[in-house]
Amino acid sequence: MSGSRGPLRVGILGAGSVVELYHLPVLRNLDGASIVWLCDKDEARARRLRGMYRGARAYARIEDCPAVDVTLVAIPVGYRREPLRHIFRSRWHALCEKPFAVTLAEHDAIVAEAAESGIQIGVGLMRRYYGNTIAARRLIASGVFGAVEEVWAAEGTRMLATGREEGWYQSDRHAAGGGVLMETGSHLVDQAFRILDVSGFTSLRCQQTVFKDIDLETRATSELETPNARRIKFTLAVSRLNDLSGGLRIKLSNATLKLGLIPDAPLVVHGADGIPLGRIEGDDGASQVYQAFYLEWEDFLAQCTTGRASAISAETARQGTAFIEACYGSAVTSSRRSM
Amino acid sequence: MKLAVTGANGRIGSALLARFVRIGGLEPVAICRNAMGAALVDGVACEVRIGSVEERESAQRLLGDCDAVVNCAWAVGLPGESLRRNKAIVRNICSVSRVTTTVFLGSVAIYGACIDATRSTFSRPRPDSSYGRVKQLLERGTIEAAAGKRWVILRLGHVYGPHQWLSREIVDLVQDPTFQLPFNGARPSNALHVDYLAAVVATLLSGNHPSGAYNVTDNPQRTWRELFDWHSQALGLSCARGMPSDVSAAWRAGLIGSGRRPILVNVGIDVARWLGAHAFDSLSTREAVRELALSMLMRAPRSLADWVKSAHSMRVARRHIRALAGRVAEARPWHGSDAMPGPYLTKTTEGDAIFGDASEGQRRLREWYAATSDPRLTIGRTDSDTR
Repeated sequence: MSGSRGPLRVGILGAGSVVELYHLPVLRNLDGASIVWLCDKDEARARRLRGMYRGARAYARIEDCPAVDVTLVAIPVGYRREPLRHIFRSRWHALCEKPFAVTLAEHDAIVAEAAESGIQIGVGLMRRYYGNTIAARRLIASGVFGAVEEVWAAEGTRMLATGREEGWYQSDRHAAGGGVLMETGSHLVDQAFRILDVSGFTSLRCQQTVFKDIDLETRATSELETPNARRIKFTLAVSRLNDLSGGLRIKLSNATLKLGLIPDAPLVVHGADGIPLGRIEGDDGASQVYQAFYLEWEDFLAQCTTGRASAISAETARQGTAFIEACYGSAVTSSRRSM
Repeated sequence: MKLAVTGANGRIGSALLARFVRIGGLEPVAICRNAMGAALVDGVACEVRIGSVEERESAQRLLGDCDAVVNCAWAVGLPGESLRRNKAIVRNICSVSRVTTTVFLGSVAIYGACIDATRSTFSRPRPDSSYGRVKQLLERGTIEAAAGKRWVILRLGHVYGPHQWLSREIVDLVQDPTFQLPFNGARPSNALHVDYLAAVVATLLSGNHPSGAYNVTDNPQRTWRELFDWHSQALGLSCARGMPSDVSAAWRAGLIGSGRRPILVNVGIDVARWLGAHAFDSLSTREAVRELALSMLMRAPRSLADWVKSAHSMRVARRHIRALAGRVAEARPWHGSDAMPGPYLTKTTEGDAIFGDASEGQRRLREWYAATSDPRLTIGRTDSDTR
């Protein structure tokens, strides 16, 4: 840590689009952080993004980067282990973009290594800061509409073009850790699990459509466990093959809640007959993606300075990792020769 | 001594009156402009007279047998109208031959919204609000009108206590999670408890203070932190968060700078900020504008296109972050003043009794707060409540 009360020094590992589009603009507007370096194996790209943050330096190897307080790990999950070891040895706190890990064993190992090194580690699950997600979580915890009985979560768009170069990490199973379930599903599963405060799951059944080891569509059913010991039926669908009606539908004993996948999507309460009764707006949380990234950074930097777990502390994302791993492990697959 | 209190049903006048009736040697008379005002002081054990001292004749009728007047009346209106009406009140009070002592309540506002004691001094105060300017002009009016008599101008700090605006504001602020107390409250508050004011005025009237102007604050002067925590402690509320010192210093520098600039320059700055607050970047979502921008960028060098793209993202991110619910990027306006410059009128023993933790002042603040925050009390008791 920098020791003084000045802004925390931040290093960014990876100069991809999530950094360019979201992290850099937000960090520029965050008083508590100062970007010291950008590091990417494509040093030219790191140099180009450096222009967005005056004073930052560009590097191609993390071993060459000077000391910072916090790192943003925004490289594909399959390439992280060695850089993370360097980060832990250097005792830099780490905010890792999602997915955090491919397996639960890997997830726990990273968390344990971080704890041994005395550093804080978080996951970029920025949907946790969406106003609709926070409001849904509070509403369910309050019990005002009764107990949760069943949940449907879906997110999918027919992918017509990637707009990416040949070496795009998401077309590489090793780099991305999986396909649509790992990439999109890690957000959606976490959003549902966060709202419901899931502590475990059973009776998992999963079906995937794959192409060259990359899942293009995943459908799964399961029973979720929560601290109040109720079993909740859970249905998940994520797809790059089909346009799905995206969002979360949560059936409670006295009402059904629906929330969309974008931060300003309303949280709508439906009666037992399915007729919308009204919208619920919470007092806080993000209604824009930039706001979600801002709240994520603000929360994680507070974790780094105080040691108190933030909403995105890595330990809190275990169940999501376990669920996705179990889906891949148990999936009945059907293959596609081409898209 | 027969002592008239004009504006007797007001926030300060009623507190003074309640105090004066308990002091031997004083025979307070409440002067209220109308019957409604008189009804508000009905429970106070003193004579209540109804009428306006804005009219010379009625001033004679209302004050003709009084030895001293504490002028708590404040005629409202646009600044010009307020000045004209309040000048008439001062003039008419001083014209009553029997009245030998006039106390005029001035204001800390005469020194400016954020007191810079190096610039706004006791003898040459520099108000920067219309309220402060009216108070300054009325001070002069009092001195002129009271020539040959004893006059005392009390430049009051911010008055707190039950029913006072400052206490209401502090109660709101300590419950506002976005509020941060500048300098963590280390600056002088220039505040005074309304009971302390009453004690100071009573002392003043019973003694032989010469004519003159004086500042009045609690003695000793409290910091904002002491004052906020006093309210929090009394009412069982959480303490206000402190604003970081560097942010506080920048915020105060802005206030001081604003006070030093001519008003037209400040108007220009406000207009520029207003223009800057518009979401011009959202123009890029309009189809024709976007097409024009993209066609221009198509011809632009890569470095320029990159710069435009990043500048646009930064601006949108900033706008969205500033729009976060409950987040205010700029410090919420509060006081960061120096202590009021010049001589103070004090009554050394009264302050501690009011401010002390287990004091009567805290008990009465709790009663007031309970009455304002408990609907059963404010709506009125039912039979079942009283049983």
